[in-house]
Amino acid sequence: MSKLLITPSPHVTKQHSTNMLMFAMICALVPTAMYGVVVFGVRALLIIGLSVVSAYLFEVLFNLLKNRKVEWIDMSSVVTGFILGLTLPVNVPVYVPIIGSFIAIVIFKGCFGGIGKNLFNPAGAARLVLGFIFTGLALSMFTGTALGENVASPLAYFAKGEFSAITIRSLFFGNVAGAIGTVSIICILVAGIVLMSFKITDFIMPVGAVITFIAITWALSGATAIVPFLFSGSFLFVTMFMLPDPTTSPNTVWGKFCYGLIFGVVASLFRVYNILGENSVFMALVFMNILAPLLDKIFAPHPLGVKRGA
Amino acid sequence: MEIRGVKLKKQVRYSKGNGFFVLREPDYFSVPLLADDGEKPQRVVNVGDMVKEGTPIAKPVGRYGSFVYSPTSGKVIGVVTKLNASGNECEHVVISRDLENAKDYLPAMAEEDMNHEPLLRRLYQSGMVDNFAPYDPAYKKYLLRCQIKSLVINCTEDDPYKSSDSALIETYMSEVVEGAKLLKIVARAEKLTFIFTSKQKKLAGVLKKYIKQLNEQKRIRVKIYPNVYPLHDSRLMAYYETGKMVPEGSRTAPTSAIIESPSNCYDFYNAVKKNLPCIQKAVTVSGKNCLRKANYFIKNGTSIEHILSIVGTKEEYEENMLIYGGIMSGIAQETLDISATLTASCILFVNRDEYSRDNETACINCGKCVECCPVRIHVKNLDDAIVNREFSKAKKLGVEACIGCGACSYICPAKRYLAQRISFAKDIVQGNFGKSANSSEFAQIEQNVASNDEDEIKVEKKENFVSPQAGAEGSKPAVDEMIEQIKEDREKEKSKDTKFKIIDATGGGKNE
Repeated sequence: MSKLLITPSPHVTKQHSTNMLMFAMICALVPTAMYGVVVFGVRALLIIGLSVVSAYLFEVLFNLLKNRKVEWIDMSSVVTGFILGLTLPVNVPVYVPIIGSFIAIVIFKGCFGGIGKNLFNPAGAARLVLGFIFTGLALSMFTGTALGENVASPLAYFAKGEFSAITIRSLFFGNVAGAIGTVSIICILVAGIVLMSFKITDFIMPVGAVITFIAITWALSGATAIVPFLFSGSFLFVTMFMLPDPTTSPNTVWGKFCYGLIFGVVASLFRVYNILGENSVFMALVFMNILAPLLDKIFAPHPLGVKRGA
Repeated sequence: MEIRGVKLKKQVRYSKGNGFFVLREPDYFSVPLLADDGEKPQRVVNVGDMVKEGTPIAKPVGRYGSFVYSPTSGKVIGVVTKLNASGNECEHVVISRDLENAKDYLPAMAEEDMNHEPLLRRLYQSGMVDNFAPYDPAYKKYLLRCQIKSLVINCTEDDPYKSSDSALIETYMSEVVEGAKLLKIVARAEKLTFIFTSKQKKLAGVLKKYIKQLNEQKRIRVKIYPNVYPLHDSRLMAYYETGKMVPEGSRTAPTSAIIESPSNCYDFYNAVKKNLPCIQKAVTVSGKNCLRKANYFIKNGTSIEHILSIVGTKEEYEENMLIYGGIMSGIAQETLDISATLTASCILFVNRDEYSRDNETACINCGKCVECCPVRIHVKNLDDAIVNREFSKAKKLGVEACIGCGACSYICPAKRYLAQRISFAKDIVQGNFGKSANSSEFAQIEQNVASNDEDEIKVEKKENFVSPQAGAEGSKPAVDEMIEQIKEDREKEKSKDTKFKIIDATGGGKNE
């Protein structure tokens, strides 16, 4: 008698895994990174590379140190490093991405219990801490290689109400000062929509965020401010790639929608009143991460066929 | 009504429209007296008895038993006790086939008998088994005295391999519709609804045309649901149809809908018009390891080894799987020494690259399981509670609402063993870990659902209830006695003007 194999049902699972989702994320980020390299030069590649490699190494080392199981093909730390690298400006010292990766992987991910257990988005929280440590990042004084000179990011102009200082066309095609990954709105939009259409990231949260961001900006700064505010800084990058991070966002549909809505409100308030400069979006993200478990509790689904309150 | 679930990957299906194959009869049948689990019937034949095709070999004991009929004419050569396909121990009657092909069918029904009482009796006699979990005898759900608005024929095939229902409707459309109309009389329903998924649109169109020919569009409706998994659960289907969800383990009649399968319609047509007791079942035999993928009529008690010898496998089944039931909710068998019963509509010989054997990784909290759960359980929180062994919290999170469809396990990118753990926790919470469901438990559930608050009824019912042990001692209720008993019960229920406890799914207390 041959040996039959026994497993509990269901006997099939969907052909996707955590690593595959993360790899798709990386693929979607590559055009954005390439655009950044084209605009800012090869040094951008160095910053991203350092960030990615150090994030991976920190993950492995931390797992070894804590006697956790080391997963050698670990795409999630690569994604964290990649996103962190893309949110940094090109002229930062080389130790900044390494410190950032340490903060992201060891403090905000490892110390919270590893993948899936972190309260904050590691890259976002690390970027916020970096912004506080290295104040230049917060004030966003970048060397825009494409522009040749040390210039302030568009945020500085927009905060003063000088919307005509930078054209929308240059914002859209990344002809401005900014972080490596956040300059090209077109790449971010395309990659974000592709990710959403393949159901790799959630579409509810970004939609909610953009709705309230536009609404609040309109109410406080007028219609002329909407497009410059939306397309400048890291808002779209964070909304497309960091806000729908599965670990730190709510699980239910309404929870996700509320999460997006509140994020849009907070981010636009920070932006309009120019609090924290470039850090504002990351501050809003970390703030929302704290609210996520609460939203999960409020919008918890009620099982069918079970008495309420039983 | 929002229909939730997962979209399954399409499998290479056996091409439809080629009808059915009748499996060559084996020399020996080993008929399990228990199709799935539940009340064990009383065996009425002994070793050495001669039986004909259609001779009853087991009669029901207790209130809700079922008849079992001999699938062939021949001699009873043994009675063995072994596991059935669902993993429950029961008696198997081994019958060796002779060449006489003698038939002993049910008595013929007169034309004027085509009303509620005689048809219900025929349903009881036919030995049909419910095709949707729980696999009780088919007549059981018609016994509750409720106002039934529609009899729903669930023709959806949510399992990617299964095509037997579509093939049955395509090949025997008039029989299925006729059987459904007969069942409608039994249910005293106002309407008849056929439900298809969007991938069966073509078939639904053909059926619509046929109904138009019959000029019965007003009474028979055809509905098309989106193609999601799961749709096989009768409670869930009743919820989609009526907006009310009955508690687990109870029948759907209080929601004013009764769910039936097309194969039962076909069997009932045969039982009424051709006097044929239920001894065979339309089964899809498929899987990548299977050579002759097709829909077969397989007789009750045919051994899997015999089916295997006829359909053939590509490779040795070392390290391969035999799944009794669909790929999503079927049971993997450890031995070929089991018999086909009247419950499963799928037998799969699965190749090693077909089933998943991934290791569990850490949950990334993506919420896909929460989105796809058809009964709206917060699967992620529930899984956390079970991993931490907090079963009281698991109960609060609604572990008992789980229908065990496995959609969460399917969709999980981290390959968590969600459905497996939840079914384990459900057993623990309900206190039947390590034992199969037995009749007394079922009787309790019945009372919870069916009776109102008066204690008298409960006491009377307990007295009326014949336990399997009592039955074994020699009190074998005959068919007519059983029917009388059921009638009495119904009269009592009627006189008490029973109010059924329905838990409104929306929780608001108002029907949508």
